[in-house]
Amino acid sequence: MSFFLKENFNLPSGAFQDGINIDTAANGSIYQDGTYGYVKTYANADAGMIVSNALTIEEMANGGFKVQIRYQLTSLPASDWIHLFIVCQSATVPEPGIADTTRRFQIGLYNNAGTYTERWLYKDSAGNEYSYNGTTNAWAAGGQTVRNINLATWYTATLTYHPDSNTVGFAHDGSESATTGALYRTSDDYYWHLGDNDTASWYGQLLLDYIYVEDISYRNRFTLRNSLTSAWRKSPFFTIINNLTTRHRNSFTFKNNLLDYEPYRDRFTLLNNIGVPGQLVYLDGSWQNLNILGKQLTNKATVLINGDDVSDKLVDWSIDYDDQMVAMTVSITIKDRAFAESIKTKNYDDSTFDDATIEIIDHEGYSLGLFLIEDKSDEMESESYACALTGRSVTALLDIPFSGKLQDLYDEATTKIAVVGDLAGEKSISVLWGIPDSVLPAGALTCDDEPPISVIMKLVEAGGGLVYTDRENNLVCAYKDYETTGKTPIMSLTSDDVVSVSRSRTVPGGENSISVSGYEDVAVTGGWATVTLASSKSKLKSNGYDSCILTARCWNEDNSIPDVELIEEEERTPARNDHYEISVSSMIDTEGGGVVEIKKKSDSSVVAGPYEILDDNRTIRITTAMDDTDYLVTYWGGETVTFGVENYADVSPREVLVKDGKAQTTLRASAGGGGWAVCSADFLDAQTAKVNVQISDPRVGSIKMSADPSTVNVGGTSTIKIAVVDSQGYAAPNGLVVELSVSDQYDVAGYTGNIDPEQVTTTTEDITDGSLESPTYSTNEVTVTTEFPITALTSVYRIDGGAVYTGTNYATDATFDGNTITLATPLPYPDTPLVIEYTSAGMATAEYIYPSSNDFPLEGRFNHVRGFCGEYGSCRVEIRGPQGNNSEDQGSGSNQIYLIGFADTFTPNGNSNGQKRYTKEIHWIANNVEPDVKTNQAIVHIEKGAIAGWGVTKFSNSGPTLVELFVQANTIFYSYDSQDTFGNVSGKRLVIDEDTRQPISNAVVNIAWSGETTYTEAADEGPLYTGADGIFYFQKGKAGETHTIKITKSGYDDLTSTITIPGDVYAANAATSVYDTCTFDIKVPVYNIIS
Amino acid sequence: MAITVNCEYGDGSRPLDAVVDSLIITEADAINRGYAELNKAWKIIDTYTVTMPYPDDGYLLEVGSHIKLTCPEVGLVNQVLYIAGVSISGKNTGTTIRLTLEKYEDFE
Repeated sequence: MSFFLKENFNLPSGAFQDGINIDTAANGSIYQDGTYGYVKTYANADAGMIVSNALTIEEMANGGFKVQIRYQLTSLPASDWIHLFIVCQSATVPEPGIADTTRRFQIGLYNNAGTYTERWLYKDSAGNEYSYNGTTNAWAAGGQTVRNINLATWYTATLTYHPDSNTVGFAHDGSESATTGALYRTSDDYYWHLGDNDTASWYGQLLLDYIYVEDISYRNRFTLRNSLTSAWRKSPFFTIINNLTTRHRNSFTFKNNLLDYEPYRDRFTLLNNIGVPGQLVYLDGSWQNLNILGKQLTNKATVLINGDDVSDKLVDWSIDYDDQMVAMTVSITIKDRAFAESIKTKNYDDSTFDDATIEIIDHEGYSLGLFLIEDKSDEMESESYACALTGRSVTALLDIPFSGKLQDLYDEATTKIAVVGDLAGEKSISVLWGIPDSVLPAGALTCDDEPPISVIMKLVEAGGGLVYTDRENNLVCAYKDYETTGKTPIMSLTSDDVVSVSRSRTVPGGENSISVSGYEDVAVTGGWATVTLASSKSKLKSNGYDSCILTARCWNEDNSIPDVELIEEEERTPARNDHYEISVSSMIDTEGGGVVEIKKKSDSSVVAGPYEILDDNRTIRITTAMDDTDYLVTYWGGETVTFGVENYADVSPREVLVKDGKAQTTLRASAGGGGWAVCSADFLDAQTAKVNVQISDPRVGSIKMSADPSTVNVGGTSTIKIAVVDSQGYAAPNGLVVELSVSDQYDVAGYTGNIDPEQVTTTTEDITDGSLESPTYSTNEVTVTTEFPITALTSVYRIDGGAVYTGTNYATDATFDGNTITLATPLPYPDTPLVIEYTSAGMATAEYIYPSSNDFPLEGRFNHVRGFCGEYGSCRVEIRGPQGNNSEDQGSGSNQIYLIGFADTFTPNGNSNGQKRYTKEIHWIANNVEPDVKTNQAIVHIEKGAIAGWGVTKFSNSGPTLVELFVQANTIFYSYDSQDTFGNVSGKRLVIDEDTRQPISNAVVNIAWSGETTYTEAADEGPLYTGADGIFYFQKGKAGETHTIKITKSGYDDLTSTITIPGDVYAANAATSVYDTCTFDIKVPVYNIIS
Repeated sequence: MAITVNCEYGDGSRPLDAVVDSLIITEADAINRGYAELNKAWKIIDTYTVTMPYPDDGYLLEVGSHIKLTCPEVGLVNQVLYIAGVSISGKNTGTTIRLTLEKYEDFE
């Protein structure tokens, strides 16, 4: 019997031992953090107390008990008390505000004019109160001090109640002890409590390591005490580990003298850490060194974290890597909680990340790798603590999140080695290159929004190579060196060296094949000119200067590649208004041969140069005026490609001469605004080639939406809220235009509603979240439940007793990131209810409007509803549309049947009738259509009962249509055998068609009673006939026998079988019926008999 | 334009990464690349997993290097094997190492 055993203080909401509770008032609080319990009150009106509720002193007073408390006093105002343990005589459970006038004995802490004191008190049998003076070592009236104490210092106090003498013994860790006289005891209505219960003038703060209650009435018993939740080193904890597979090495024997009567002798503790010398064993009240050695290898490695040897703080560690992994991984399990909590992780800043490292050195002093610490997760299971630390080798710096994404075009020729070396070199990582190098032509390599390691892998794997890390953190780019012939092994091993070995085999089969997709060598089809268009980048930033190259490749009608050619003596006439200029039909190759010659046609006289080619690349200007006559122009020129772009970007130049089948221009993004830039290229009469380049708005990183409500009825509306943030997570500026649309996501073709307006602009909104936030496991970090990021924080108040406490605005100096707030002033305890007001910028609002039912298109209506009660326990409803089709015409096309299944087992329960009601929501049924209920399709499952009634109901036209199938079944009992005083059995049986399960009327039934060879046509009971309900009755059955029965009916084959009479026999008019089933298999057409 | 080279090893396929733009500029280049892949790996692969105490000079056991193993239990006698994966783990009682070893044999 105990209520605390040095275990965790699972306060206030954790599992409590029976009869223990907490009670607080105002801002008082009691909670657990780690293994410590906290009692905190901040003002006179506060209270916080741990109190016995159902478990009273009376329940254990007759046995005796011992209480040990380890405490620290954190604060206590002058002349204030805080209780460590107090026992009061009271008829009711102590609560805040009730004075301790009926106390019997206590240990209390008191601030005596600035001096903190520990005091022991008791009330004698006459009702006089005494306290103990630690100086005179005597009990005396008035306020006496046992000892002075300091703040923030651990002390232990003990009291032991002796029921035989009705006295209490006090002691503390300063070796002071005292025993009271006989205690005041006029009734057995006692309760204990501790903390601050005064709401008038006391407050203070107390830290508790444990409250240990020992039931000394059981001292002579053998007890193994469960203290598994304690992480305290000397807690009683006993473990025997089975290690039988190592023969008898683990033999372990101890002889107990646990029944001896000394404190602590009844506890025997082994701390399991076999394999490490110098284990502490707690035996006979003291800790002793003991060496328990398991199998110890001599190759123990050393683990360094940030350069410090932490091997003794670990449980285990591992390093993993293979030739398919870029970075090596490391995992460490730490058992030292304080050390684990001091380790920093996840600092993604390149400049400081290297500070947190793991290095493992083998037993010979060789490093097995240097790793970056990436993640840490800890857990507490039972009494053991474990923290998992994971990391990767330094080559992880080439990957996200340590490297940003690249969006580069290598527009100058380079090599693979150069590219890989540059990318790795930025992180000071060396490359071991083991595959052939190759040239990357200008414009051949594009980094498509990917980290450096992705680019490196693309280059290496394109050559069939692998990328991985060696233990010296070099980035290895090599082929898989599986060819072992001629290789020098670094080590030779045999079976004696290995612990286990296994083998698996991969066998390829069939023929190899190679297919290439996405590539076309031949682009000319059907005698038409052809043009294709490609972009060197798939995405540009809309900053006004980001650009890429558009390349058009062209083919002539005859499949030849167009190129610049020498156009000789093209006949042209000078411009009439300016005889210094003459134009040609094709674009002149200004970078090539240009204009060769111009001569007058009439006399072949050459026009003197120079020939200046104007910006249109077709007009030639000369310095000598020409005549108004024809001239012959010889020049290098050819066909052109005309580029275009619709929006978000511009191309320049738009018309480009085709050289060697190729024309290139520059696409440059416009500033402000994102979307798809649809680029086009026209060449001769070829079909226009198009390519889409995404223009990303730098102001937009992501868009989040929410709908309130998320479900709307017919004619209803929902508010759509949009939040826009940039790539850094900051709110987008006001005035950003967001375009909205709605798509059809319904299973019924028809109306989808609309968004109003379809364009909204972002603005700033205040959002007040007035409810309890999601659980916070710390006192300084809060995550708001809304998905929209915080851009300004107005207030954070805690809710105390259901009201908002505005005394402290925790928003002061608080920081926030996304929807997480980090408080500068910590909350009193985790899971503090809060109300938070903040501003979220980059917000826009629109409405989604669902149409009213009158707007539904024709094809969305249904005009037919039919229900089935299935034979095999399943029910379903059919809904058919569209309006106007033949309801009997089940089939394909638009006349689709919508089945709503109600799969369920439907069986009358015993003697009771059963009924089921199935409801299903469908989208709608048109206003003017009534459900067409077809009951004649129902199949009644006679053996299981009868369908008494069912129907389909259509509800409101304004909201969603509900179809309801209501089925009721009545249990029908066909066997009803009763026996009269003469031994004659009367009863009835049912005959049904085996296929339709319908009753068969007017069937002739003959029975040959047991022992007889003829039927009873002329005997006791003549031929029997079934009625309209298929039932025949007999009056003179022979009890306890099986009889032959013959049934005859026109249209059916005769049935000869047996029945047992009776199934069960009851006295006549018995109230209990018999439900029994008997099935006969007969020829077609068939029928059944139910006996 | 993205070009995808798909190399199929008989019953199984092993698609390579898509190649963007003009790293491969002709179909012939793409096919050459595929054959290079296949010809290098057109083998039966035997994979052995060996667990043992971390030996002296264990730091030499690296991915990409080779060891010689004699284990009649799995049919190996003085067989040189390629080290494809390494996993080293430690406790207070010592260090162990697990090697993933590969042996390739000609299929034809």
